[in-house]
Amino acid sequence: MTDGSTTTATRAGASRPSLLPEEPLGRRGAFLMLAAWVFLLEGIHALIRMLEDTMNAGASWPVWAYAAIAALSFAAGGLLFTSRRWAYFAAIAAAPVAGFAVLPIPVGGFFAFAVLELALLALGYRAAGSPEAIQLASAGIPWRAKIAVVQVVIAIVLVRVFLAIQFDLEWIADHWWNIVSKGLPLTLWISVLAITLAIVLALLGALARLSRNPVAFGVAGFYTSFFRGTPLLVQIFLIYFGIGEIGVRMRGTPLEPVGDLITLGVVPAGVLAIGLNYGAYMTEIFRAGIQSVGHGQAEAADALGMTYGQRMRRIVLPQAVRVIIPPTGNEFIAMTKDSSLLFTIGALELFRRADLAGRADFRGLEAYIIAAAVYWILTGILTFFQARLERKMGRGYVRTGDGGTKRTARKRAFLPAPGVETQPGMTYFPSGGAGGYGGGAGGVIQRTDEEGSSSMSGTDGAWSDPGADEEDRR
Amino acid sequence: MTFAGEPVVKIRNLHKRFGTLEVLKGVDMDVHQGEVVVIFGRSGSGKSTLLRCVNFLEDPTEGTIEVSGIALEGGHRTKNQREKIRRLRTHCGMVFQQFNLFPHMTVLGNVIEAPVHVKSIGEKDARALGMELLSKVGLAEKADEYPIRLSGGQQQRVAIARALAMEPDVMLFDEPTSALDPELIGEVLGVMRSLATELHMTMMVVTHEMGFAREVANRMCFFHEGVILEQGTPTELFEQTRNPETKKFLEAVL
Repeated sequence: MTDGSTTTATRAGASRPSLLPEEPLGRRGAFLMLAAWVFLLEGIHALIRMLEDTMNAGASWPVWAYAAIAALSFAAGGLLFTSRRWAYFAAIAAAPVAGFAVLPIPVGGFFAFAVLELALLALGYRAAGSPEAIQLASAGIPWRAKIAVVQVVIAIVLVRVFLAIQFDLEWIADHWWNIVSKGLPLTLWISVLAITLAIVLALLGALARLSRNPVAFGVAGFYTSFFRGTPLLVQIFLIYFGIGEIGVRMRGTPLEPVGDLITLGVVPAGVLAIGLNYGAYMTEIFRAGIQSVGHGQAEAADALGMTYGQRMRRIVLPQAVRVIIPPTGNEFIAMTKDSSLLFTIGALELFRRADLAGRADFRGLEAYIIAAAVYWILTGILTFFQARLERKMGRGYVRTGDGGTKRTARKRAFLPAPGVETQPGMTYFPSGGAGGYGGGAGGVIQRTDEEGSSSMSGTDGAWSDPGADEEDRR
Repeated sequence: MTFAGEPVVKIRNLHKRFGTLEVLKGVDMDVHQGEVVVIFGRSGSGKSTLLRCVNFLEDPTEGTIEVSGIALEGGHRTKNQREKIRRLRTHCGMVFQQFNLFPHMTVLGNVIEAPVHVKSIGEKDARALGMELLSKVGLAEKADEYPIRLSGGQQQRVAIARALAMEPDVMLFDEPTSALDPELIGEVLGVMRSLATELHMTMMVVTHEMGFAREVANRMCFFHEGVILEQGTPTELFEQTRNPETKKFLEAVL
């Protein structure tokens, strides 16, 4: 009986083909995968060379020759991914054609590509035609490494394209500081003023949308509907040019002082337009934040005899702020970019400065690249801080214990440090769950000590279980 | 023990409708100074609604509520009446099933919040009062902790201290132990018992804790389908009831 079972087991083990071959197929497949990618890179290289050679008057070949090499390389690379055996041999044939066919003329990298491709194809010979080889190899490479490679390729391609199209780096070097130093402060100033206005409006709007006052509710409804329902650019023009025209029409009438008052300068009009627009969107954020505070909190405040104002200021808003701040940060980031729309009414902010400088020297591309880069870097910096803020604020809800255990942050989040005994026999364990908001409690307080049972006797001045007090003092 | 004189809480002909559902169908009740009234009954019988009508967390559809001489009719509210409700609430301490402590404030902060901002007593006096109350409920050491770090029982004791800090004329307990783990119920009931026996606090307690009721209550009211079906001393209800509904309920919970 024992013998029988052993033999069965052995036989089963032997007869079943192993899922992993003795020499991992993936390693061989890696060469084919690399070969395929080199082909694709060769295609990109050919296209960029076309730009470089033809635009810099060093043109050696007709344009179709570059195009043919590119097409051949893309085809060979793409086919290799199909893992067909014939594709493997097609690639071996394609490599020298793309690389050597134009040998008499300066080879410019194509030769090197061909050598590399043939070497990789030779090394990957045993995996040729094996459908899973490339997939297995690909699966073995960390995701982040792949992404890094893609980013590097994008960077190289961009730099080469810019160089090929005679990008004026010197002009950029000469002008960028002038553009940034003059334009960025106004962009930031407009954004800060507008977000301040938007926060005030959003708070009022949210309270109005949650109130039972029909006037407040109706006005707020009209406000959010209009400013969310029309384009920001239209609003900017309405407020700057449109209202300005009202001012013009009031001239010579007794209302002239009013007309002067509502005829706004570029920056006030711009701040007003952006602030009103963002305030309308943020009304919803604030409303949701306020509603996220449990109904029991408002009831507790009411039961203590608080007025509506006290309830909001002391109880509800301080708790809503935790929910509101992260998305408000997002809105601010978006706002710094949208402030570029004020270019259209002549605000001398970052984009306008770049445009002016670019037009003066016929260097529009360079100027816009500067503007784009500065916005990009700016939003990158703001996003970094915003993400930190979000982690800090969100910790109390879901993500706990990972990424920083500053006591202050923890205190703000109303949470104990992980693993700390919060009271005798009770220990807080943060959950390592997925990120995000609104998941309810982030961790659990678990009884780690079964001794702390309580009885109902209560004397000696204190009303609670004296035994529990004993433990509390320790 | 008999209670006489002007009642602290006076409820007359109280009706409460949620849409077409009539939860309270005409309730009359007087609660006197120092009296402990336990209100019990099946879920949905209207006992919590009654309690919430006393301090107008629910607006009565019909009837009169009077607390500490402040009388209000049910129905729509003018601004003047809302202010009156607010004043009435300062005379009622309420303890919720879910504690409803303010999570962004420390334990002491929770307790002194209303005295400082509603009653406008100085922060220093409020702190002294708060610490005194916290030591009464056995949580003086936790004064600077945040509520999340406390157990449910401790949180509920803080909630009781918070309600007491307003020096109310009547304490309303809305199923104060229903959300607690069994081993934590005792500490809360202990505090409530001391409230009754040592401070002679007027209390209206909605609870299923029949042991507590038998021991502490001066009067028990059995709620059934929106009316007080039967009331009397614990002895009368536990041992001498003739009412089949009361009997059925008590047999089910005991």
